[in-house]
Amino acid sequence: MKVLILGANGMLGPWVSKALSHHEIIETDLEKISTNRNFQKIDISNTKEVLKISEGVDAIINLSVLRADRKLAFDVNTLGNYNMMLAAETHKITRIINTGPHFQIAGPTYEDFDFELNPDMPPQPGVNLYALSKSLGQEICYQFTRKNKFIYLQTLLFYIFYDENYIRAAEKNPQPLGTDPAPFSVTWTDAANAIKLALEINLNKLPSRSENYFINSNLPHNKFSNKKAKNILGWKPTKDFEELWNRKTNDHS
Amino acid sequence: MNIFITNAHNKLSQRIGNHLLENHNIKFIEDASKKNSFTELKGIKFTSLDASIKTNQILKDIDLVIYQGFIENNISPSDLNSHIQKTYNLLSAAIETGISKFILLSSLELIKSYDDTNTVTETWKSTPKTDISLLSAHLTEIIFKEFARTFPINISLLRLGYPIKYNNSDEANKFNSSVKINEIFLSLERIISLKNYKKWEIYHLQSDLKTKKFLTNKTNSILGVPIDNRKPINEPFYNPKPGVSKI
Repeated sequence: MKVLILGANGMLGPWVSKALSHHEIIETDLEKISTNRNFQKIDISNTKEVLKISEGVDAIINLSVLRADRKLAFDVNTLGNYNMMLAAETHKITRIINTGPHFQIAGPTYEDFDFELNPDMPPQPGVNLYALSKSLGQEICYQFTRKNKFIYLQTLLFYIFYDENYIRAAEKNPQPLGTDPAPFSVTWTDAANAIKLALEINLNKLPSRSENYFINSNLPHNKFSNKKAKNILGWKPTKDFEELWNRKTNDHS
Repeated sequence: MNIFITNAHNKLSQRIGNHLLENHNIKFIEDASKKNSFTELKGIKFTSLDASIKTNQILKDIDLVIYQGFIENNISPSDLNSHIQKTYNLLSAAIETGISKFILLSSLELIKSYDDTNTVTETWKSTPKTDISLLSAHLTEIIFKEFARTFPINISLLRLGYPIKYNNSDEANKFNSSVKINEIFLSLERIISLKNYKKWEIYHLQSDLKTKKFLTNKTNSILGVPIDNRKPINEPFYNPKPGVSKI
């Protein structure tokens, strides 16, 4: 497949690029990095640029994200999604894979109170800038998908990423064993593999043209459910973080 | 009451503001880029509603915000983005300033896709399309809803019929979803004077036409518009703690 990746140079991008090595990929972002292949400089908030780069692709994967700045967050997370979906509509692109944080659906009004949260709940992002701007972007994706019967939208939601040595994103040292992971955690490798599965799935097997998935490992907290990702995508997380959540595992005395 | 009204360049906002001026202090605001368009509108302030402290300052001493949720005559994606950002900035500043009452003006066009024979009320899900104007109204409602969910504030969402009939010869007579400007005035007056505010209350307002598209029973019974069917309320109601609400 010819696949356009928006926001390819975030922390997840290189892992996704590696997982999709057998596809023809166009990697886009604001600045080039050394691992890029077939890089194009694209600002996702620029409608013309996104429309132009999207022509002729089979699928779009949106990994772009901006969390802190009041203006840029909406430019990237909301307007960026509008531009992506306008491109899908204009160029008749069938496969759209969007990504975001789990709290664009399961905000504090869910997470602070409940368990067994799932990706099909009505969104309650709250007023956190990152969560709300992403959630609005997701609503735009949904409305475009509802309108255009050829679009299949899959949204994969994440929260905390670890490498194989339990080093969290943006941290230098491993998390000490037996200190409990966030109840929504996954490794970079497993996360990228979930995106690969979503990209390659037979669209006729999807229950609807708009599906959300929580991409978190098999954790015993029972806070968030990953059943849907496993059942529909056939996703199997390879790391369950037991050394972090089970103190007995680390008791060598 | 000190009332803050957005979109001062807009005909609807101006009519509402000028009507409420009889009993309230009105502060109109408009985007700074439209400054040259105004010379005589009383109480107008120009602001970009950005994320700075200026937005907080312009809301000082305001009791109620009347906000227009939909944008008109702007069709670019950047207009939509700008509107959403201003909405978030305004609400954030209002919360920080201690304002607890809001009226959001939206449109019944958000639910127009249902068949005319359907009994469409406030409990039916919005079905916006992707044009900028309706999407702006829809996303603005979502932002307001999340603020209502998060903070101890009261938001009345008034979805207006379309088009708005400004005078008797208006072409709005041809539509089964129209609303008269006087009905909007009365609804706003009644909402402002309510003692029983919910955190999030939706009202549908259109004229009482024989073939009207939307049911307005709830608005009739609570606000008495367009038909006064109000009855005494015997249920306990939410009463914000002193100091949180100025009502």
